[in-house]
Amino acid sequence: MSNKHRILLIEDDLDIQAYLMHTLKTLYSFKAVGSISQALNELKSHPNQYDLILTDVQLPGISGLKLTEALREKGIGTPVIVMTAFGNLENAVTAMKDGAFDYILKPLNFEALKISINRALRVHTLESDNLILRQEVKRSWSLENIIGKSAPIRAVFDLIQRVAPTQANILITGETGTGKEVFARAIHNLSDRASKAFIPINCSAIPAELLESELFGHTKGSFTGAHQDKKGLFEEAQGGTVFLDEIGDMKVSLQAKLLRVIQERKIKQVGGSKLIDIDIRIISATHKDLNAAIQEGLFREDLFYRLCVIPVELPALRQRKTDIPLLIGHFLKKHSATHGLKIRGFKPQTMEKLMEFPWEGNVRELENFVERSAILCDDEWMDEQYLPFINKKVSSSQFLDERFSENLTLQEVEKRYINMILRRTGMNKEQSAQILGINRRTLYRKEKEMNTPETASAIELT
Amino acid sequence: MRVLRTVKGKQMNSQQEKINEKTLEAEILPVSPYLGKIRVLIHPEIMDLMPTYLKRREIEMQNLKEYIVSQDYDSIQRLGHKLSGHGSMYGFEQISISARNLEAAAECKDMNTIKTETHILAEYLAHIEIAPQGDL
Repeated sequence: MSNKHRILLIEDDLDIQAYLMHTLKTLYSFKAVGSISQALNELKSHPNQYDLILTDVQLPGISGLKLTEALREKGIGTPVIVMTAFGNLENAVTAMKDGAFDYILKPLNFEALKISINRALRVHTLESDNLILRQEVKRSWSLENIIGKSAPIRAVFDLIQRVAPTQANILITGETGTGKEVFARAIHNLSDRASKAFIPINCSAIPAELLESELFGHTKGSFTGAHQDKKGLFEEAQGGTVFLDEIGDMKVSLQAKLLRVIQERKIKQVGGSKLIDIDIRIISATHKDLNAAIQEGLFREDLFYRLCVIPVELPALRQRKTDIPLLIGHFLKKHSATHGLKIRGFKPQTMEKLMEFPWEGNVRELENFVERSAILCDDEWMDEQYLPFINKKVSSSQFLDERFSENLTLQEVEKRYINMILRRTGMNKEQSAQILGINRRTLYRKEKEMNTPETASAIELT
Repeated sequence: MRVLRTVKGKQMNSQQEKINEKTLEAEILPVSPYLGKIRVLIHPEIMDLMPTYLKRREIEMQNLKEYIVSQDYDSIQRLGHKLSGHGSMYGFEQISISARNLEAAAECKDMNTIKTETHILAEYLAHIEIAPQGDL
């Protein structure tokens, strides 16, 4: 099949038809018809066949100027170039207003026509690619593309489908690597804000002193280095969704300002005095236990209730083990295509081990593992020899021997185990205490005894 | 009365037609036998199209004369518009110029200008000699 662009030429003058088809035959492939009704029939019987329509204005029956309107009604987005006589420039203006891509004057100038056709084809290709990419992005971030059939993840899907179309603020919690941003984007894409911006902000990645200016914007001269006015991310997200990741890391002083934004739906730029109306939905996420942070005075309770109108808790991967083979299959396919690998899968016994592995880093860790293993594997089916770290970690009989080979004291083992559980629960004291089989007060006391730097501040505030 | 043919809805008998043809001959000057050839250089890429293109113009000149006899200004205007659109595209600048004048004259029903431009066009077409560009 020819890879030339296909042009539908609507021209009743046989001399112009012959000229165009003869001179441009090496560049484009043509089909010529003599009227708009013939053209519409052709477009109906051969949809998506034409990359461009080149039409005269004075045609028998319907005028060429009516074509763009007819195409719009039929939902055909093929670009149209109108050929009009020099004395009828008003035709050109009308055609452009109606959505024609360009007009070209008769007598036709061959070079000008080629430039116009090429430009129209280039823009049309870009627009089509852009549309495909947008659909692809939308599909990538939709629920259909989130892998999982287990009961815990299905419960999350159900919840999200119910709450996404509302305007309610959502707080997504879950361990690191469970896909909080993926779900936030899926919620955005399922909402009526999908056509507007989704702005993700990682509150822990931006220095506290910069975060305020990033969120609210600033006016020129409001601080050293503010050389010009700058819109904040809240303003950029106007009509869309703001995703505040790691909200638990936001400083208390900024939390007060965020609370005001949510309550009043207005922002004031740093150094500015004008209040700007904003229409945004806030989805926030954290791996921290905000209830504990509230008790410790690290998070404002009033803000928590504003953000957590709908709480969505994402299950850890170990709580949805049956999804592991599905996820592995998905990641293998993805990375085999990217790296051109021949690996087809994991042997059954290997898969069993992978399903038993705790995956503390959750889906993110699993994906990294699959990619790394697939690259290193020389065979089509991967067995245990390629999984040294898995072997090391999941072999229950050797677990204690290998983990504690350095003759630790009981106190040191306890300290390490408590830290591991705290990490797994995202520093959730309540949950950790439950897993450890002790009450929360005992856990605080033990942490104090351990005097680890990450827990010291929390202990002081208890 | 024997009906010979219909021109724009008007029925004419043979006598009427003869009168019209004589009038036409008297009003549109005949092509001069003394005028030399007018050399027109054509883009080599469209030389293949020339025989068909020029044959169509011969037919159109006949049609044009009939439109003048029947004072069919609409058809003259349409033909002028059409010729002006492709004349210079093919390399015949004079066709486009005369055709534009024909179109404008037909719009204001100016038969004198129509006849003059028809004569110029007929002279031009009768005397052109085409050659590919670069062949001097």
